[in-house]
Amino acid sequence: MLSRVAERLYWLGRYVERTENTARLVGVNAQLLLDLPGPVEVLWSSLLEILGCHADFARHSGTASERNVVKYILAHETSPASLVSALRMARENARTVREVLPSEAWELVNQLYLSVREGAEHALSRKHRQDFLDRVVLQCQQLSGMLVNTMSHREPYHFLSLGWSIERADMTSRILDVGCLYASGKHPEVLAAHENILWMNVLLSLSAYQMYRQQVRERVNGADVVAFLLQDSAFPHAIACCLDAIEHAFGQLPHHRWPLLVNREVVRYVARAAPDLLLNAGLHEYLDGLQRELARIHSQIETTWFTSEAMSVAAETG
Amino acid sequence: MINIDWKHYPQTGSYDELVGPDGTPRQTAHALLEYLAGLGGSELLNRRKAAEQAIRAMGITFTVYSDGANIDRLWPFDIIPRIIRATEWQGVAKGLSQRLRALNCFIEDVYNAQHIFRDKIMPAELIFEAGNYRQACAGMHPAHGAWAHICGSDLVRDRDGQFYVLEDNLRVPSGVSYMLENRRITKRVFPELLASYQIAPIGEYPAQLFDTLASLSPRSDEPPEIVVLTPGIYNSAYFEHAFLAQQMGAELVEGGDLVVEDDYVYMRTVKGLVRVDVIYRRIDDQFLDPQRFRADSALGVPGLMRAWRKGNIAIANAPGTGVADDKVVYAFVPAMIRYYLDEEPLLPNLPTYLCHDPVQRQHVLGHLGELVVKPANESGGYGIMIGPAANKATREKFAELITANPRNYVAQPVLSLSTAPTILGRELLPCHVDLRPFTLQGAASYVTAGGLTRVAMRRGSLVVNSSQGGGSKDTWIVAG
Repeated sequence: MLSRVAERLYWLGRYVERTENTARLVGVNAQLLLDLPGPVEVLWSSLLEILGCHADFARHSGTASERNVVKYILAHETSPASLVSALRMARENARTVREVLPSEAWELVNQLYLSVREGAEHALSRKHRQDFLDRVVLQCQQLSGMLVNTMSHREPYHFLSLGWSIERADMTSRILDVGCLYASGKHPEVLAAHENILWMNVLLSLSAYQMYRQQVRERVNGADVVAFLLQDSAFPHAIACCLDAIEHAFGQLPHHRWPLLVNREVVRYVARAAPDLLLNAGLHEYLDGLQRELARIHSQIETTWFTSEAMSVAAETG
Repeated sequence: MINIDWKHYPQTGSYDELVGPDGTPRQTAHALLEYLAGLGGSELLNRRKAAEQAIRAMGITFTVYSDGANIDRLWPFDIIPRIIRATEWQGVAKGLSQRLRALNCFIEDVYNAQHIFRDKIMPAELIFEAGNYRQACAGMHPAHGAWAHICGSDLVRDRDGQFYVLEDNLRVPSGVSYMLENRRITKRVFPELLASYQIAPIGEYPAQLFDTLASLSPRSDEPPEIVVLTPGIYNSAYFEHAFLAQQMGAELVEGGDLVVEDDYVYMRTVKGLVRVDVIYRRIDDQFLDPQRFRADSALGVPGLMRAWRKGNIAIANAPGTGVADDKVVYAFVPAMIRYYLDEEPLLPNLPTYLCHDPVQRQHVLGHLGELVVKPANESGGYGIMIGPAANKATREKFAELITANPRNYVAQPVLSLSTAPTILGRELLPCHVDLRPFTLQGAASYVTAGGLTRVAMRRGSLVVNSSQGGGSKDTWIVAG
C-alpha cells in the first residue's frame, strides 16, 4: 500500500481516538466537579495542562473559567486540542483515503464532524453538556466498531489500529496525570477527604471502573488504579494492552525490526514501574517520560513507513 | 402535484426520446410510460425523494469551485430513464469504435510518418499552428497502435432522430462512474420496472477498463501494477477517480506518490518502492512531467516522460493524444475514416465551418445569428456563443475573436437537441439531452451499452454540463 495512504490512515485513527478521549476527559472533569466540594476552578485549568495547550489557551481565551475552558476544548476552530479540530483533521484524512475505507465509514466521519460543529455551542451549558459528550463517545465507538468489523485486517487496518493504539496510550497517561496532580500533594486539602472519589472518576473517564472492580478486589486506591491503567494486560485502555496491540500490528507489517525494538523498550519501561512508590514521589515525571517514549514509537513509525528517504529500490519486496 | 398525462405532454418540435407525436409512446417506451402513469404523480415524487436519499447515502458527489471554496455537491439525477433500441445502438457502437480506430491511426501518423499531410487530406499547419502537438511524443509507437485508450464522445440527436457526433473527448473524459451509479440508483428506485424490461447490463465497465489497461503493460512476465493518477481531492472528478480505482482494485495515486529512478516508475509504499507498469492518468498532458512540460506543476512526476519514451511505462491516454481532441480536427474525422480505414463513416459529423478557411470564415461572419460558434480547444461548454440567443454586443465580440484568431474557431448549425420527459420541480417536461458513451481501445475494443445521458435541468436550457446546472439520467439499451 502507498506510504501516503498509510500515513493518512494512521492519523485518521489518531484523530478519531483523540476525539473520543477528549470528550471523555471533559465529561469526567465535569462529574468530578459535582462530587468535590471546595475550590474547584483549578480543575479546569489542569485540564488544559493535561492536553498540553495551556499557552495556546492563554493567548486566545483569557481566564480559565469553566465556560472558557469548555468552549476552548470543544469548539475552538484553531486549537490543536479541540474536538472540532480533531474531527476536521479526521475528516480530511478520511476524505483522501476514501477508496480504501468501507464507504459507510467516510459518511460516519462526515456526520460526526457536522454534528459536533453544530452542537458544540449548545453543549456549553451544563444541562446539555453530558448528553452531547456521551453522544460523541458513542459515535466514535460506532465508527471504530464498524472499521474493526468490516475492514480486512491487512495493512490499511494495521495502520489505523497503530494510530488509535498510540493515541489511546498517550491519553491514558494524560488522564493518569490528572489523578497525579492531586495525589502528588499540590492540593492535599482536596485529596485527603476524597481520594476514593478522585480515582473512581479517573477510572470512569476510561470506562474502566467495572473492569477494575472485577479485577481488583480492594477498595479503590491510587496505587491499584495506577497499576491497573499502566500494567493490566487485558483492559484495552491500559497502556500495557495498547503496547501489545502496537506490537501485534508491527508484526504484520514489512520492515518491522526497528519499530519492534523500540516498542519492546517501552514495554519494559512500563513493566518496571512500581506504582506505590511512584505515587509518593515522581509519578508526574514518570508519566512525562512515558509520553516521550510514546513519541519515540511515533517517530519510528514515521521513518520506517511514511518518509520516502527511508526507502530505496533495493528494499523492493513486491 | 405532478399530472402524468402523456396525451398532453408538451410538443417542442424536437425529437423526444420516449414520447412520439400525439403522446403515443415510442416503440420501446410503452411499458415505461404506462408504468409511470400507473404510479401517479405523488408516488413519482416519493420515488424521486428515495433517489435523493440513495445518492446522499451512497455519497455520489461532484466538486464545484464556487466563491473561493470547493464544495461537494450531490449528483443531480432525474429518475425517468432514457431508452434506446438495441438494434439502433449496435449501429452507433460500431460507428464509435470505427471512429476511435481512425483517430488512433491519425495520432500515430501525426507523430510519425505524417502521410495525411503529404497526401493533402488535411493541411499540416492546422496541427502545427495549434498548441496541442507535443514534440516530446514524436517517433513513439504505443502498444497496439493505440494512443487514445479511453474516449468519451458526445452524441446528440437532432430533429430528424439521427445521432450525430458532437465531439470526441480524448484527453481525460469523465462521467463513466456516474453512468454506473445511475443504474444502481434506478435499481433501488424502480426495481419492479427493471424486471419487466430486457436491459443490457453496464456493470462490466471497470473490468473492461482493467483489461484494456492491462493489455498495455510493458511487462508480460508479471501481473501488471496499474495505478490511477489523480490531481487530488480538489479536482471536480475526484469522486470518479476514487471510484474507478476502487472498482479496479488499483492504487489511487497522486504525483508525489510516484518516483522515477533509472527511467522506471515506482510508487512509494510501506514495503518500499514498487514498480508501476500502467498509469491511467486523470491529469492533463502539460502537468504530467515538470521536467518536460510545465515546470510549476506539482501534480506530475519528474522524469515520467523519459520513462515513457523508453517504453518502461504505459500511460493511458498516451501523452500527445490531445492533438486529435480539437474541434478543427473533428471536422476531418470522416475523411480520416476513409483515408486510414478505407471504410465509410457509420456515424455522421455535424456540418462544421472552419474559420481558418477564408471562404468558410466569410460565411460564418455573415451568419453569426444562426450558428453556434465554438473555440476549437475548450471543453465543458465554456466560451461558446449560441447565435440565435446572443445579443448584438456578444456577436460583435465573437466576430472580433474570430478575425483575430481564425484557427481557434469553428461554427456549426444550431441543433434542436432531442428531449426526454424530466421532472422539473412539480412538472413533467421535455428537457434537452445528449449522450456520452465510452469507447475503449487496447488489445481489443469495447463500447459501453449506452452511456451517460446528460440533461439540461433548467427550463428550455440547452446546456447539459454538470458544472452549469445539468443533471443526468439512467440510459437503457433495450431489446426491440
